[in-house]
Amino acid sequence: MRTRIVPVLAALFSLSATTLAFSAEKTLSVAAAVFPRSLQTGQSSFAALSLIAQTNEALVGRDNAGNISPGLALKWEAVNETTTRFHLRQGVKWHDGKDFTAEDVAFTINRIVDPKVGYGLLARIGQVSGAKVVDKYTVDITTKTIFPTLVRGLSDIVIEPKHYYEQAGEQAVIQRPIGTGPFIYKTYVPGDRYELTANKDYWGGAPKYENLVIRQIPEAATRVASLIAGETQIIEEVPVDLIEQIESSGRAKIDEITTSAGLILTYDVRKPPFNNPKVREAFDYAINKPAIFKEILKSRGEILDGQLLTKSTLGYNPEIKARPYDPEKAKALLKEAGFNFKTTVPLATQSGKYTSDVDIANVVAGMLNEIGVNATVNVVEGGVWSQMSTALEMGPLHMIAWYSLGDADFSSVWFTKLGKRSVWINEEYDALFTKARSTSSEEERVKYYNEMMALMHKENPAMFLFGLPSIYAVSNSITGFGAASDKVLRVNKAELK
Amino acid sequence: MARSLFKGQLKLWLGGGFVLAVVLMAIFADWIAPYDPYRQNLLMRLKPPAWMEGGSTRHLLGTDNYGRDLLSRLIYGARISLLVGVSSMVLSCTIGLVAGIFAGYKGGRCEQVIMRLADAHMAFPDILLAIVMVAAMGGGAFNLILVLGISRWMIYARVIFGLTRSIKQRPFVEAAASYGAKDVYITFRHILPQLVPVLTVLAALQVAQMILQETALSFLGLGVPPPAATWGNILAEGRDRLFVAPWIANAAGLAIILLVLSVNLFGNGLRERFDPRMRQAA
Amino acid sequence: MLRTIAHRLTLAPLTLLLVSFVTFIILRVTGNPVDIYLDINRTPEQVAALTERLHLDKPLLVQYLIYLRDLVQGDFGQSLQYGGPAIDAVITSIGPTLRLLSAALLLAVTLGTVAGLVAAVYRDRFPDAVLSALAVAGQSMPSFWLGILLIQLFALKMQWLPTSGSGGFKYLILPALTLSAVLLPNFMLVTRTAVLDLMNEQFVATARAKGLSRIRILLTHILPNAANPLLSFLGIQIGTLMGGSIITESIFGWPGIGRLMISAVSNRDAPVVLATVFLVSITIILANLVVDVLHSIIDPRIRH
Repeated sequence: MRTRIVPVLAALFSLSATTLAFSAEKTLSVAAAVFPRSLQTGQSSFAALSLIAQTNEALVGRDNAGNISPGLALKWEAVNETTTRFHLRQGVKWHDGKDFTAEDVAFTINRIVDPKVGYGLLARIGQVSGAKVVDKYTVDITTKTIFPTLVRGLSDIVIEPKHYYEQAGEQAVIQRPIGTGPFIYKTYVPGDRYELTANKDYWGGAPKYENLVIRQIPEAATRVASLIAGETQIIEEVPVDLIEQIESSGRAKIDEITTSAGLILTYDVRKPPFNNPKVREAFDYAINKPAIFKEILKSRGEILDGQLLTKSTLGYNPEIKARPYDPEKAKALLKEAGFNFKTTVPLATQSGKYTSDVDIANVVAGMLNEIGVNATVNVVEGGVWSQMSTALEMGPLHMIAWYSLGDADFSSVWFTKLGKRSVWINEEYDALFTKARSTSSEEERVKYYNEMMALMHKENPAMFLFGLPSIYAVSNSITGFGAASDKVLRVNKAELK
Repeated sequence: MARSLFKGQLKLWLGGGFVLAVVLMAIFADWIAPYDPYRQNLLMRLKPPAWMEGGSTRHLLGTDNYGRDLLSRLIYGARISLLVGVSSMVLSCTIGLVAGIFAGYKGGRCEQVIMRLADAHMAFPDILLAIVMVAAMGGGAFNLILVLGISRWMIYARVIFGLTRSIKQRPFVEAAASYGAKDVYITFRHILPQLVPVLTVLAALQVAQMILQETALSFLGLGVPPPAATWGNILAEGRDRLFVAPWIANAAGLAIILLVLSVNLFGNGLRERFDPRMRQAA
Repeated sequence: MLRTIAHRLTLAPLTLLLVSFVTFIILRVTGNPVDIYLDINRTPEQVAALTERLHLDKPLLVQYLIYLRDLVQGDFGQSLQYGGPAIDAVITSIGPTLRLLSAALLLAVTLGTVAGLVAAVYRDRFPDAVLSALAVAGQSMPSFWLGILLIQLFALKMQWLPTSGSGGFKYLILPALTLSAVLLPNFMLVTRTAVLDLMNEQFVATARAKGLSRIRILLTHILPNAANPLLSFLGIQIGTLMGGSIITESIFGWPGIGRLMISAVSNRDAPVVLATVFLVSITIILANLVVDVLHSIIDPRIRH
């Protein structure tokens, strides 16, 4: 009896031993905090975009700082107010060897503008009406109105192979994506790992190693441990408090960049107590933002200057300054507004979505407690959060970050009627937004955005906290990798020593 | 020496003594705790305990991520941890007792339905049920008690059922029944008193399990929501900073081990006292 | 014997029915898939399509019956999170979980038996005191704290083992150790008790009188007879072990059913949650069945 059990068990264990057996080949291992549900394109999450970007590319490239550059399109020009012509890179091949052509671009764009497809990132190019092939390497994209953010928006839209969709169908594309990018899909195990091999024929130059493994390690402490132990070479989302440990290990260093994400606390202005502007203003005075920035974020990222936009975003208004920390004034304002100190003010936040999110929420609640407000923290999980957000019932106060990706349009839209996510509706703000969207003069756009920021600063639909940092840790055995402001992993230029 | 250490009496006193100390600490937390457990101080965050380099006697066990005094949080944390542990035990004990007596005394269809339910429930890991329920209903001490209580009723039900059935067949119960005593009377007068020893032992051991379960749910982010101080929360919050501030998780972990250990000792001591032959583990 | 198996098998559908009913209702009542899975830019067509696919316009009970009807045909429904069939997601992650469970079980049973034997033989002496104390301490340890301590010690300080993830044999050691700690102390205590009880039995005294060595008596007389209570104990503990693996998988990033379950619950991916619950329940039922069969193979009446 016993002798029969042993081989069975041995077989059971050896099942797993075969998976990691790269011998002389070089492998780059990356630890990510969050994995997307699947590799389906168009998911509106940075985690999804980061994985998809390894295999698939957009017409317009974007670098770690958020600057755009030629991608699958070499250059582009306006044909008229609502048509832009893209000249494609020639000689690019899909991973299965077929040529990349204008047909693929037109197919991709026309597929996703169909609302039935439910493409999550459609809002990025919301004004696009369709695409038309001009010749094998030229394509025209048309928009319903003047659409100044078209090119930047396209940097989030990956091009997909027409022939593969037609042969294999949508499910197959999700299961086994084919792209033009620097890495080729090998296996994807949700919640565990994404394995890829280098694309030797990549137009941008083959990666200098053979395999790329992206692992999901949700626990921050374990992620750091895996880096120090040498199991991974790059880790994402390093908690601020663990930076010191990494730096003192002598094996890895920190690489960080300020993102375009503005972390804010949004009030439900429809209901008491936050329908009273005085209460909103008082709350703003009650929070010691510089102290939180210094102690919790360890001065990484930036303090928002009383507006939604980070300093590097187009449309940032340099005239606005954040309200100073003044708890006495806050208390006085609340008394004046007849604020009921007995009501509980729950502050909703997600956990691990943004750098130090729960920490910041707890400290903010603590500071509100100091002036006598009965604030609590409500950590909400993903599914419930989406439901609350769709129903526009986030509770009195919720913490969220909006990414501008360098252009005010992308984050300010969420406070318009058009964005469908705001409970604060302001006609003047909406009018300014529409004006900004319908001019192609950058100077004019900046002027409108500045006015919008000033308006928001006055009205306080939200408390503006911090421009969030994006913190990576990189093993000393790696060169050629940089932290990305948009959290998309760019590792094709990395080298292993 | 080793021999006396494992005598029932000592277990009872040692375990019971520590549990009593924790209970008193929880009740009189307002007088004992040196600081407000919720009072943050950003300038004092992550300060080590007094005996470590950089620590001070102002915060004996150091401070946590928000500069809150760890000792005070542990003292106050005992309240919710004990409350959750004991209340959920009482709940599951009550459900299990009623179901078990009913099934054992009535027999027949009653027995079939209740015991099949218990069997079905046994095939469903309690933590799984707890996760589904807490995720659905939301955190909070009350929901947690409810969930933990419901997730373990069948353990009592099974034991009580077996005992009730055997007691029912004893001569004095049969005699009472033949005199025409009412079922309720028999249950309270003859059966319940017989169950007390087993019930007490089981209850004590279950409190320990419930406290551990609260910790596990807190780890998964399904416990009593922050900023509430519970030992599970402190341990869960400490795990992210284990490498920079190990004292947070270690203090809470040690507190949990000591309490659960004492409760277990107390329970085992009780068991040996009630029935020296009953030495099986829980 | 056959009757016990028949009894268990008739019980299985009832169990599955109950468990799935409760889970189904809880999930539906607490989260509308339309609001979770279709974002604010949804079109009425999308809402209508999802409502129709999940039969959300019908009463809850009808929805459950439709779910059962599909289930009988082997259709667990489509995962709302992953897009593909729900059962696929569950099947890919049951393998790692079973691997972890069997490794932990193996560890707990071998170490537990040895420790229990030693404790029983040296009853009330030093080894017994130490082992019993360790066992009680082990029972009192929150398992995730143990896991974190193990990572600190073996992965970070000594760097012998990887911190997390799955792969070769060495990835299995720490998670298996952590998970086995859920079972090991209890298993040791049960072994100790069972062996002590048997030592007082008539047939052991007879064997001793025949002049057999202590080791021989232990191995050939006592251990086979102790197997029975130990098996019953294991049957009861399989559920606990399954539950423990949820925590262990979370700490070590083990790509098993526990982590799948947690993400599915928090995203209200009802088909995946239900498929998980089904598979877990079936595993537990089967494990108990195996225990029953083993019970009758190792017949207690065969006493040397």
